[in-house]
Formats: sequence, C-alpha cells, structure tokens
Amino acid sequence: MRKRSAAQLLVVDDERDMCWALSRILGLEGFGVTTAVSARAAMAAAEKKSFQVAFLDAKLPDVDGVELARRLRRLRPGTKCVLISGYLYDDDPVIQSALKQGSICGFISKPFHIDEVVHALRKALVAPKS
Amino acid sequence: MSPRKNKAESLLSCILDNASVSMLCVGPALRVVLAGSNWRARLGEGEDEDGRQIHRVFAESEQRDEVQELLRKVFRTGKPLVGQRLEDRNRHYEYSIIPFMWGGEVTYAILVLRDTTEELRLLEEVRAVQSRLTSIVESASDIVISLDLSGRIVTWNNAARAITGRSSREVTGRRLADLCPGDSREAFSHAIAETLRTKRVGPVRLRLCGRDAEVRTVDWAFSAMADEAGTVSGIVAVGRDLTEQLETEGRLQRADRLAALGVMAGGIAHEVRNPLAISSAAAQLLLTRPLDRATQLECAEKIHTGIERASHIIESLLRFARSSEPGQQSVLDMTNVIREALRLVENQRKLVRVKLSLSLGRRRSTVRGNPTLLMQAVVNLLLNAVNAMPDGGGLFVSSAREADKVLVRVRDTGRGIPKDDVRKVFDPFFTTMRVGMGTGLGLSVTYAIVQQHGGDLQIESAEGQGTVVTVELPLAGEKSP
Repeated sequence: MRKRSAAQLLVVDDERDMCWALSRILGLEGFGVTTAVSARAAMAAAEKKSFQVAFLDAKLPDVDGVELARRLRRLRPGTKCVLISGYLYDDDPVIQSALKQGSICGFISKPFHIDEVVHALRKALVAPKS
Repeated sequence: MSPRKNKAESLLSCILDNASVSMLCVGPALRVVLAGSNWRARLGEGEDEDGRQIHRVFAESEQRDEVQELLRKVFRTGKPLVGQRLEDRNRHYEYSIIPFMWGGEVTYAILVLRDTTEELRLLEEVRAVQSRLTSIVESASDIVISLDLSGRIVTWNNAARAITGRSSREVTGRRLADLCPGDSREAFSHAIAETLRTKRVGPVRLRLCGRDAEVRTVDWAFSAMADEAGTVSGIVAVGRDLTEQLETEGRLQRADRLAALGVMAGGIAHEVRNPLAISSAAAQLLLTRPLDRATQLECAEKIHTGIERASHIIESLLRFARSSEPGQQSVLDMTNVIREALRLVENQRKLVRVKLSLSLGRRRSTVRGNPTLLMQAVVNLLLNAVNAMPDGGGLFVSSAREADKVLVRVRDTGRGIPKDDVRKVFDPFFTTMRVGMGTGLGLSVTYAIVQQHGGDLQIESAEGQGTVVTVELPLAGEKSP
C-alpha cells in the first residue's frame, strides 16, 4: 500500500483523541492524513485539497456525518466516505439508505478493530468511482 | 332597753350598714333584728326583713333548715361557725355565723354573707378555658411538650405519647435529649440552651426515638415560656413528625432518579464508547504495529486517558444511581456537582447539538447537603434545558458565590414555558414531554430537594426565547480556608 502514498485521507471527529487514533492507524499505512473536528472545518479542508477517502463521525457538533458525506461528495465527487459511529448500528435505516444511495461506502461502529479501518480504506480505494 | 344596750345596737347597726359583706343580726327566737343595708338592697320595694323568721328569709333556699339549725347551734354553744355555703334566689353565698355575747350569754347571732356568685362564674370560665387549652394540646397531631429550665419534661401530650410509645408518667422529669438517638442528643441540648438565650429556636430537624426502637424525624420549634413579669419559667417544644412525609419524598426522589436514568442510560453507554474506542485503538496499535518509543508512550497515555474518562462517567452514574440516606450530608463543592451532572447529560446534549457554555466561579462554592440529591437536582435542570431545545441551541450553566449564597444558574435558548404553564411546572407529574422523555417529576422533586437544603429556586421563562432556572443554596463554611 505504500506505493499509493500519494493518497490523501480526511478524518473528521469532534473527539481530538479519536482523530489522533485514526490518523495514527492510517498514517502507519503510509497515507497523508488531515484531521478536522467539525463539518465546517472538514469542508474548508476539502476546498483546499482533494481527498480520496474521508472517515466521518456520524454525530458532529454542526452537521450529521451522513449529510457531511453528501456535501463533501457534491464538492469532490471522487471522495469516498466511511462513516464511524458510537451511536448507530449498521442495520440502522439511516446507514442503510446512505449506503444504498452511495453517499457512504462503508460503516464502522465504535469501538473498532484497527484492521476494520484498514479494510474499509482498502475497499474504498478500489471501489469504482460513482 | 338600757341606754348602754341602745348604744351597742346603734354601733351594730352602723357596722351592719357599712361592711362590704351582707349582714343579718338574728335574735334568739331566730327572727331578724337588724339587716345591713347591703342585704336590704336585694329586697323588693316595701319589703322588710326586720322581725321576720330566718326560715322565711331563706324560704326559697334548699339550705333554709340548715341555716336555721346552725344558728341554733351558735346560740347554744357560743362558738362561731365559718365557711358555710348557701344558694338562694340564684345567688351563691359563703357565710359565717358570729355570736354576739352580752353578759355571758349569746344575745344575737350575726349572719355574715359574702356573695360569691361572680367569683364562681369566673372560676367556671377559667376552668372552661383551661380545659379547652388542655384539649387543644391533647388533640394536636403535633408533639407539644413543656420543659423546665434544665430541659426536663414537665408535660407531654397525646401526640408525643403516640409517636414515642412512652406515657407521660414514664417521661416526666426526664431530659428530652435522653429520648433521642445518640447523634441528636447534643443538638437537642444545644437547641434548648439557645432557646433560653434567644427565646425562640427552630425549625430544627432532630431525631427522636419512636416506638419499637424506630427513629422518627421531627421538625422542632422551641420557644421560651415567660410569666407575666417576663421571667422565663420553662420551654415549650412543638414537634412535627416528618418521618412519613420524608419517606414519600424519598420514594418520589428515587422514582425521579430512575426515570432520569432511563432517559440517560442509552446516552451514557454511548458516551463511554468514545474513550473505549480510543483506548482500544491505541492498545491495538501497541500490540500489532512496530512503533517508535515516543509513539508507544503516546499510545499508553491515550489508553490511560480513555480509561479515566470512561471510569469518570461510570462513577458519576453510580453516584447518581445509589440510594440516598436522608441523613447523609457532607460539605461539597457545587462546581464538582455541576461537572458530574454535565457528564451524565453530555450525550443528550450532543445528540440535539446544544452548545454548552460553562462558567464556574473561581471561589469554592461549598454547600452542606446530600451529594446524590444535589446532583439529581442539577441533572433534572440540565435535562429539562436540553429537552427544551430539540433543534439545538445554547445551554449556559454557571455557578457563583454571592454573599452567603451559592447560585447555580441553568439557562437555555429553548422553547420556553407558556405563560399558562409557568404555575404548573412545580406540580408533580406535570409534563409537556413525550412519553419516555420525562415523568413530570423532575422540577417538583428538584424544588423539594432545594427546599430540603434550605435553598430557593426561581424560574424565568419567555415563550420562544428560553428559560432560566436559578437555584440558591446557603453557602457552607469550610473547615480549612
């Protein structure tokens, strides 16, 4: 995976330590990681740079993770979004419909195994662009 | 009649007329010789007692034979008779018969009558007032006790007997403090000493030994009993047994706490997931990835922080959920109570995107109270505020010290309370929340808790603009500055 070191990732979570954990995991995989603690900060970062994959917390202080995924993809249609949540389960209708609509391409619930994160990233990177 | 005897008769007549009592001078034939003007005053127009048989004078009295008999006895023996009673024409008299000796024999007997009608009526009135007072004290549902200056029981009413199971005979002469459980004894003695100094003490909540070794919680008011000259002669202690009321209050508080727990439990569980996820990720990194020393330390530190955060939440939850003994009191800092309460509602707040502004005074805001109940009061206010803002808003929580008070203020920018509902918000079970969101007990229980701590609670609300709830609690002195 180191070959793809050019890939840029975005991590959005209002918990700074959660941003730290995800950026460590992803950084060790050889990717450049940008973190944001709100949807607004995430959009601002996306304005400047294009991200291949974004890991979004489902509950952000300003906008829902699913809504942020929609906005990010409207701005940068190539960005793949993975939702991470401590509140929702993968059988939640909100998640199911977001997956179906393609605004997110994966879901991870907290707490997670770090291999789940790596696996979701790989899956996102190889997924066809919609 | 000799001139000397004549002189004596006019002297007698003078005495008979001017004495404050009524007098009748009776001759040996038991006929009236002379009647004093007081006695004559009770006679009708044209009536005259002179020469009348004594039997006829008291013709209407049931004691007429007795009077006659006693007069005869005085003539016979020459010894006076005192303290006799007589009822005649609806008036009561106390009378004496005094022999009037002349030349070694009883010439006349003087019947001295004192009208006691008024006196008896007053006595009757006093008795009626006394018995009414006694029956008020005896029928009162509150304990009414009188104590002497050393705090020993003098009187003990029915309520005191019913509550303690001890009779008046058992307790008279004993110290009231000796009928209290050990922890209230000193406070009782102190209250009594204070009453003698300041005349009035109370309400003071002290415990009393009840029936079957059961302890009753009683609110006491002590007042000094002063005589007309203002000298304190004893103490009156009035006590209201609050045991049942407090039990009901306790049950309502528990019900409210359980309801709040139900609302918060899901949120709290989710709230623990974040620090768990962070700790878990950091531990996995340590276990599965080659890391440099600095990153290893960083991981360990995140694990530690995450576990601490999770255990703080659990601890707050446990503190909130434990049962609270009414007597359990300590001096605590309200800023800590607020922080803990906020930890429990954190998730609820985040879910509806309510922004928190916290302003906790720098000086310690210490109050004396029950930690669980005070936390419950704050949790209720926070939940109410958050529930008032389903579409987000601002939550402003502050604590400050003002003179001898600690002020805790919770303000929200929510929907506010409609004017018609403001008065109902303290009613138990009044709620506008959806089923499952609240029981309607919150504010009434909060108010009761605040009052129980000697504080006050005020609500200001504007529909559509928000609500401010201010809780005032008495500042508690600190042992160490």
